[in-house]
Amino acid sequence: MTQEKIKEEAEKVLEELSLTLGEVELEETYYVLKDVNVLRDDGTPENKKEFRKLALKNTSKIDEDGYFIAEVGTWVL
Amino acid sequence: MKITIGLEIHEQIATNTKLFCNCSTSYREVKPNSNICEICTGMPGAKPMPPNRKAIDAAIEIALMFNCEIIQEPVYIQRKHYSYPDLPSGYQRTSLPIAKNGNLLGIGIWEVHFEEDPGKYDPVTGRVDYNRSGVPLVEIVTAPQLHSPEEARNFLRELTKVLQYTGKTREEGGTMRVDTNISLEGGARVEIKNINSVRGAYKALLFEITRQKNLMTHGRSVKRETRAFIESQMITRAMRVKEEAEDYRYIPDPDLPPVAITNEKIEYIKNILPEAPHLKEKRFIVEYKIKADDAKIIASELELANAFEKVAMVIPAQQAASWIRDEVRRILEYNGISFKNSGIEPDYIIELLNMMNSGKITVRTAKKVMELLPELRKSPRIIVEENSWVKISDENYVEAACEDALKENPGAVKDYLSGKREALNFIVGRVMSKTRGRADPARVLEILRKKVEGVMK
Amino acid sequence: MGTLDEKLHSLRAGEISAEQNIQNFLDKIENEKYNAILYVNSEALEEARNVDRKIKQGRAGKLSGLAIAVKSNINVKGLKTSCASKTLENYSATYDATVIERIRREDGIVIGMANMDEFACGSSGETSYFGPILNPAARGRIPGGSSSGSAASIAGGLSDLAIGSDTGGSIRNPASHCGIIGIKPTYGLVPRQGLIDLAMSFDQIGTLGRDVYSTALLLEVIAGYSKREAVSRKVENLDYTSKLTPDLEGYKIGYVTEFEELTDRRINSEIKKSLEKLEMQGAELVEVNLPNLNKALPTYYLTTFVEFFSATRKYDGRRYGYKIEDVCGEEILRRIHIGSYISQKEYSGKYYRKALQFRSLITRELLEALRDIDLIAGPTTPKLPHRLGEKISPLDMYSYDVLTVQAKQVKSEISLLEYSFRQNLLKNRRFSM
Repeated sequence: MTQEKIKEEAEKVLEELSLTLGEVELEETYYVLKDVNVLRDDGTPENKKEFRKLALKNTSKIDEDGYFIAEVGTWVL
Repeated sequence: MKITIGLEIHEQIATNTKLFCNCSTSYREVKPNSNICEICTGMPGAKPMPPNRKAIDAAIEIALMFNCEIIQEPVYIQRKHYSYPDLPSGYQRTSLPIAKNGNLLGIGIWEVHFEEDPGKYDPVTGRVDYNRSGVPLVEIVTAPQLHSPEEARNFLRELTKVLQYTGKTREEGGTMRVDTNISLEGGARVEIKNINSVRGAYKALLFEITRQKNLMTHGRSVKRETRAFIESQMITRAMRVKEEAEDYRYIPDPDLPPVAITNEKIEYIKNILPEAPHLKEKRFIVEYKIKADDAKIIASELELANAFEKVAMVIPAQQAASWIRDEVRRILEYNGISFKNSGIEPDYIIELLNMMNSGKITVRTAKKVMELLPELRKSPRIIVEENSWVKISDENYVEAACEDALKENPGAVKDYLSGKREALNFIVGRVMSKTRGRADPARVLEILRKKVEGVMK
Repeated sequence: MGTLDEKLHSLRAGEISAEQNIQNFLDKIENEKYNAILYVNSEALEEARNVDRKIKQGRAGKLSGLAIAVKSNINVKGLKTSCASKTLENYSATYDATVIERIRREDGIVIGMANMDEFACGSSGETSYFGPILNPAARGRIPGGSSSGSAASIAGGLSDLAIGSDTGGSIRNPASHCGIIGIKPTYGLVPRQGLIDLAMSFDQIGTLGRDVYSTALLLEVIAGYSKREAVSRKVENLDYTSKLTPDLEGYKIGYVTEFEELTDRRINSEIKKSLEKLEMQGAELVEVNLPNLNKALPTYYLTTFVEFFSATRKYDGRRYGYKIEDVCGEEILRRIHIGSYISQKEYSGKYYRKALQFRSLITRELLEALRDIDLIAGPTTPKLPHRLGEKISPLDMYSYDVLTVQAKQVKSEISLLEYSFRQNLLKNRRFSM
């Protein structure tokens, strides 16, 4: 199925879903829990050496210095 | 031509751990990608930890320094979606304003919020380092009320001072990042990113004004766009054309409950808030009747200002001010250190000035001791004693030294007698070096004059 | 096959070793035909031998060498956590999800990574990049989704227990279709750290098993407050296994009339029988109404599309190999497309934020319905599983969830969990509470 076809179908789905909804005037619910101010204290740093190794291994491109490699910025070319 | 400039200033908040994870915030002195974890690299499935309380408190304190009104409704931490190599999750977590409607030097502060720093991306090599990713930032947004690069520079300098006063931003400096928008009358608004210093902001704005004026004089229009400041060349370059505002599709982060700042928290922070530098400066002029120039320099660093007030309780205020402005500042600049890290205690300054004022040491000795303080870090009284720098008050000893100096420098005596009065100063210098600076130069001059003129009679 | 309770006794008594238990499952997985397990944990035997040592020393944890299948959207360090998508086919997890840490602490052994609907977007088990999952309990029928492999591994005898994730029915639906027990715990009860997101404000990790006891046992292990995430319920002393009694005296159980209208006649008649059994156990049945039930499905989907769009922005092709839009299946693309569209500034008021307003309405309505009763009982899906490969429209697929999207949108009370385990006594596996 082409991207276009999927877009078309998505629009249909969207219309049908919003049709069922109708109108309502209420505040928006973003969260299931009503907590506020869930914070943590600034403690002693943790160092995850094993994670670093795995993360570098799991990345498509890295260089010998341990940098992840992304594209070069177009505006500096 | 009317110029309108607004600034968005990002500064890193000093914490041990990052905003949403327990990785260390040090990223300069470590290997690339060493202080990272699944959270700050946005690994699949990673959720933020609860936000770092210290970072949020710091942002509140900074907002209060600008007399902002603190928002007391729940503040959502939002996801700002955009695709960029330094952004591991494809969105940046950034809070809605925690405060609004402040001001500094008469320039409006629109809002203050906190957010996470992205990683470090080098567009030239494509290298990405996530050590910085997740470091807490405070962002301060001004009203577009600045009208020249000079004004922007002044404002940023003052703002830097205020941030340093709070002690809540990173001490090592050089972590400020500025986005600025600038429009010339009749042109579109241009945003400039990638500015890393006050000087950079000034240079970028200068360049941009010239560029935009040039376009206009050639009858071409200024496009609404985002440009990057290229520091190595002091120019700006188009990043992407901004026909309409980019849609960041903000949503409250479902993994982060909102922050609600309580009245108690605001009151608590207000009580520990330092006086703003520009207010302190004004107070010093009125309260201590010191010169405006001195007040400005003294108020440039909180610890220095505090030291001044302590010294001025014992020592005449203007003397304390002049000494700090001239001597202390000279030593700080020479060593490239802040007062806080200089090892100079206010008590040391008091002790030193007391010894000088009571005639126990000479001005020259006092200056020498001052220079040694950052290195020796001990009481001036002890330094003076250990080096036997107490002023020589034994008249016979000084007279003998004068006698010797006159004998050794007959030429200078002749010169003086033939009308070159400054020749005597040379001999004073000889006496001072014979006595290793411990003689009172005024007294030495007196003795020498008496002796030479006695010969003449 | 005895119950898992009995197996645990044998393991602790040394009648069978954890190593034998694991070896037995590894052999079965090697020859499995359901496409339920995508990757096997190559260290499972080694881990089992360690557990055996601990058993001998009498210090083995609650799970003492039981084999756990893990849905491929839950990070298990070193194992492929692919979400059954080409997008993440090269991603080996760089860390353990909190639930995996907890399972390891109680000496459960991850046997392998279970197949699933791609990125948990599906209700049939047919959208995996690695091919559809077969239903061990109903040949030729879909296993349900999205935790299809987790359910099939239980029904097909490939593991003792499984964990999956449920956003709008993804555990309960395949559990129902495969005839096993599955539970979506109350939102915030089980840590989500390490669960790859579908929709963050609905997702919840839950357990699947052959009987209520073991499903409750595993839940007991993984549930509970975590200070390492910001959305977590502060509940302590979770104990479900000791509260499983058949006595329902004094409980008020609600049944929803609107459920019946939406549901296949054959399912309804089974449900009716189950309700009667509940009554016989001493429960009082109370009719409740959810007049806005038909709004729950669009509310759920519109909200999750946006959250899913947000969650997938990290698959930008700079890491993990591929950009999601370039390699994902149709359903993923459809959801990302809608999510991107309706979260735009211009349209969010019309769709996304409107859905969030309906979410308030539905929450309020369900809380109201629950006010005077202990729990609501009803069917899990409105229709029987269709034939594998049968083409159905996206909306028909979504409507499988019409009865399960509702519950997750409310702040239901923790204590309800205990009651929901009683359903085992009813021996009706097409039943939701």
